[in-house]
Amino acid sequence: MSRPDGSSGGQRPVGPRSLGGHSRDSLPSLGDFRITDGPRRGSLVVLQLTGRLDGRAAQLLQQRCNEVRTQGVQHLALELSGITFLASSGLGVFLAETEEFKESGGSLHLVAASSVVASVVNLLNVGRFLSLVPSVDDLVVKNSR
Amino acid sequence: MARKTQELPKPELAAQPQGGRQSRAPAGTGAERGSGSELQRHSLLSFFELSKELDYSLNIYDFADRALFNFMGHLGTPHSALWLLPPDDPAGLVLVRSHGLPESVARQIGAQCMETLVDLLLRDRRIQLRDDLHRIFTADEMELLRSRGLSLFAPLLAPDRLLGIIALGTRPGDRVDPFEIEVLQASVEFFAVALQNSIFYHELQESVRELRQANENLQELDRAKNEFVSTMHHELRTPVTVMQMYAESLLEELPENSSQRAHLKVVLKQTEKLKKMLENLLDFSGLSGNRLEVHCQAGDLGLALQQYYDNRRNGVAMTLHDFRLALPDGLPPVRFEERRLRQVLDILLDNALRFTPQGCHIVLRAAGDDTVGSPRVRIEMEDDGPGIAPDMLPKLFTPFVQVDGSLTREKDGLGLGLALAHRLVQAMGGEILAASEIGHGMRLSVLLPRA
Repeated sequence: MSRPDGSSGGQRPVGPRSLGGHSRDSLPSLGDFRITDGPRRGSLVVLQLTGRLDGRAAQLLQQRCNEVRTQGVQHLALELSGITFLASSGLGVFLAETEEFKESGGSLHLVAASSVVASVVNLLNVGRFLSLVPSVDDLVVKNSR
Repeated sequence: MARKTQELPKPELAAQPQGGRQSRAPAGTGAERGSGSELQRHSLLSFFELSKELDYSLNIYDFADRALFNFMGHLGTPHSALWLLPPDDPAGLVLVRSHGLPESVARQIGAQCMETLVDLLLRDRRIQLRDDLHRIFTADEMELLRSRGLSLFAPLLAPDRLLGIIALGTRPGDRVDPFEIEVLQASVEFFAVALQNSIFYHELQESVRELRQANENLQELDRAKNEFVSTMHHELRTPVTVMQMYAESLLEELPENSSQRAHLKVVLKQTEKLKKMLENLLDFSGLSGNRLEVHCQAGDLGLALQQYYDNRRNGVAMTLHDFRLALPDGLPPVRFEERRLRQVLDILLDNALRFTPQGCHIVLRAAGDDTVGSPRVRIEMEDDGPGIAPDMLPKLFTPFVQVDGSLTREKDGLGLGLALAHRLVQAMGGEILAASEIGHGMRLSVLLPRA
């Protein structure tokens, strides 16, 4: 089926249109937040996040993570170097999805957290709930040892 | 392999001021964690963000997610759950969303622990901390809440009633800062007002939709009435015409001036009158083609289903049923009439809503179906409600029959819906099938021919 936004693959299109429940025209703007597919590393799927991760973006991210999980992907890395703002909702999704991936026998990793991410993580002392790694290479090398 | 990456030693964050903080035992006070003013700033920012994130047109499930993610990031916890109290059943909490704990556990906690909290939350109207609730919870309940990381319970209050309850974790080992609780209390109150507004908005939307549907049903009823009149006209006119023919030939055979002839003329006159009345009856009903008319053409079924889903999803969420759409890519084109298909889907969805309890899941999906001779596409409406016995299935599509035929049956309605859906699908050249088992939900499938 041809998608109105030109995307392909997956059960549902990724992008503002996949936020079911809105009529398409009334969808709030997502600002500059983007999710792009990074290079896949073996069983590890990488998504690159850029822009402001606020409430609306957080919900989009959660839906994308959910899609990835239902497609049977076990290990997901979110590359965060391009995140310019992290709202509580964004952190909430990181925490919730880390639990969800654990629950389904997999793992979620936060890669190259920018200072905006790191400062919130430190402030709330939630590093112990999250897997924070400096780079995807680190993750792959350490994992293959 | 699944757990491998979890076992990685956690690298330090580049921006972390002093290494090793994460692996250290949890700090005892907020002051050790970060400066108090930074935490307060974070709390206030969370509140401001929430006020931008809630949009009245969101449905209940999206609303719940927006708020729960915000609150989780506000407090720094991976655990949360939200239950709502349906207005028509203030005793039963319905789980809407849970994060960081399995749905089944969240349901159990709702039934076992949250229902005992309803009175307290209504009276106190404030956030309650688990560790202050020893008098209310048993030791087992306390342990259940503790093991699932839930330590704080917030009421969602409308002016006249409790809308629901939110449960959240807090950072283990950290003292909860009173300022954080104060801001969270404001956030939750704000969220409750926004939720109430959203409920009003969707109730209005639903009323409009129901009125439209009622109007369509009336048109359908009008059509059925016309069909009935047309049939009766045909059935009555034939014997009247025969009577008239025989009376006329009898009249020709009778001698002039016979009294029988006068009587027969009366019969003929009355027959003529009866025929006229029948014609008038037909004219009065304004009948022309009064059969069930369907105009099928090749169309994009995926798009039609997506639009249907977008249109109904928020309204369905109001009834506290989780409604989802599962569409594969590349559905082949199908022959259907969109208005009629919508009518059929409405009937199937309303059927699922009426016969499944709140909190159940309903999935609308489509897939190619090549198992039978001609290639078709299968549309399914599946629920995980109580289901019905397989031997009752054939009765489903019979008019005026509800499977629960007892006088005390819970659901009203004439039992016309599925019969009409059956006729509509047949008129589009398709087939409708039902599958169910007691305790295992129900699946209604519509098979439509490919274009």
